[in-house]
Amino acid sequence: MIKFLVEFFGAMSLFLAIAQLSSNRLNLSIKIYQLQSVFLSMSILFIGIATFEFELYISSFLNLLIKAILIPFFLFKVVEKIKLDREVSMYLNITNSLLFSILIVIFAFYISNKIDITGEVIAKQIFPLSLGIIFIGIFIMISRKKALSQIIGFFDNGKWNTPCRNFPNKRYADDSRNWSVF
Amino acid sequence: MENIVIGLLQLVILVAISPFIKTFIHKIKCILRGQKGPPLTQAYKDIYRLFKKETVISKDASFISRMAPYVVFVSTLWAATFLPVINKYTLLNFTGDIIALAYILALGVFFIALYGMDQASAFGGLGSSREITIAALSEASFMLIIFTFALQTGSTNIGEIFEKVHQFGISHVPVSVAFALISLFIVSLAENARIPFDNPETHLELTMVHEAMILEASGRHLALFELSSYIKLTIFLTLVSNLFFPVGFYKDTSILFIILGVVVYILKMLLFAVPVALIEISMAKFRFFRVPEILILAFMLSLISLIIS
Repeated sequence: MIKFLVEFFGAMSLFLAIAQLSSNRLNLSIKIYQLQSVFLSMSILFIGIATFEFELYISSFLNLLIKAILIPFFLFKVVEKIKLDREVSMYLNITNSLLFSILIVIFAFYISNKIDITGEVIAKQIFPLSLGIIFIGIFIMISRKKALSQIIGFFDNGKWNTPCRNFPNKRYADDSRNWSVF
Repeated sequence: MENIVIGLLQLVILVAISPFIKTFIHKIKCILRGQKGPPLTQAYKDIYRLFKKETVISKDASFISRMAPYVVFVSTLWAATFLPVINKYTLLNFTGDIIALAYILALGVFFIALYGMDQASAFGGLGSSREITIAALSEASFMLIIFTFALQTGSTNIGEIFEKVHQFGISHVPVSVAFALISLFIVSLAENARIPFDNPETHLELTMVHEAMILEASGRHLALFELSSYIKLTIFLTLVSNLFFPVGFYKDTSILFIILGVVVYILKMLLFAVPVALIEISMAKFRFFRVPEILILAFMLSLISLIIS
């Protein structure tokens, strides 16, 4: 059941990353980003419940506070200030970038098959899912013209995985768990 | 014997509940908007009133206009006979599977599109062209979702799929299920002409799709069209609810379990009708040229779900 919830919320955040590609309004993008962060912190919370680790609760709470409340708040403020609501100009149009994201997700699943994950794994599919989110975030960064939507792509992807990867605790030697705390 | 009795019972339940579901969605929308809304029996009254009225047909109408309402209604009922609503024993269990269900529904779409063009009204042709575009684009994702579940359960027989999903649960392939759920939800909205694709409440000339095709229909014919659109919505909601919320008694044939199954089924349908209403209340109808983008999103999600299943 825990595995189901963790992977389900992970899959929902990958879906929202893809939905981010199909949104052509800045306000909608920020809302999608907010919802995605909520799903992400739910996913982390359930890993925490499964492993009884207190740090993961803190990580989930911080994720919720910073990514779901603070960053969208400031982004909304900026959007209001510069009065740029409607347009999200892109180099590729929505249809093409959606088609391209199929390749991205397949690629993420393909290369994650090559990596051998050892140790006790709670939710194996989380690893390719987070890789997919990272790649789609990078794709958003390079395919959008305006800085604000590039910033959303930048926050979208797994910049948060870097501090968590070198988690000193031995129990986090398992790769899939580390990556899930991006 | 079980097939016939339980199959007929399921068909009756499906047809009987379908106007209620439609009114229920409408009622939730009205309540959220702060209106009072129609009584929950409104759709039954509409159908009854329309059956009593006389049918007026244009003098230019060919035999298609006389035939299409019946073909659409019968094809929808025919598709419903494949569908295990509360139990895996269905009427036509031995003749076809879930792929047959998809394409028998497509037969109804084909005839309703012909009906729209037959009486040569400008709106009808426009509506038919749009309906066929939406149907053709959404069919790909529907088939891919079907193949996803066929791969997971090792069968394309719809009763077996439901039974196995019920037996093993969906929790061993959560990622695939999440994508398939969203994709099937988008496809259901598209096939039933709900709000991001078409507004079922208005008759605004420029935007209507489903309403434009049946604009010329009246009386008995209109009642058949309306009833078959209700049944189609119920078929899709039943598919979604049985695949993604596998609670029920698909194997037991004793009377107690069947009654319990009916109660569980109705509760599930009401549960899955709520998100449809919520989406309709929170979204505006998309421009028609944005519809392919949404359907490509659905196609993509179903493709991912097929690959990782």
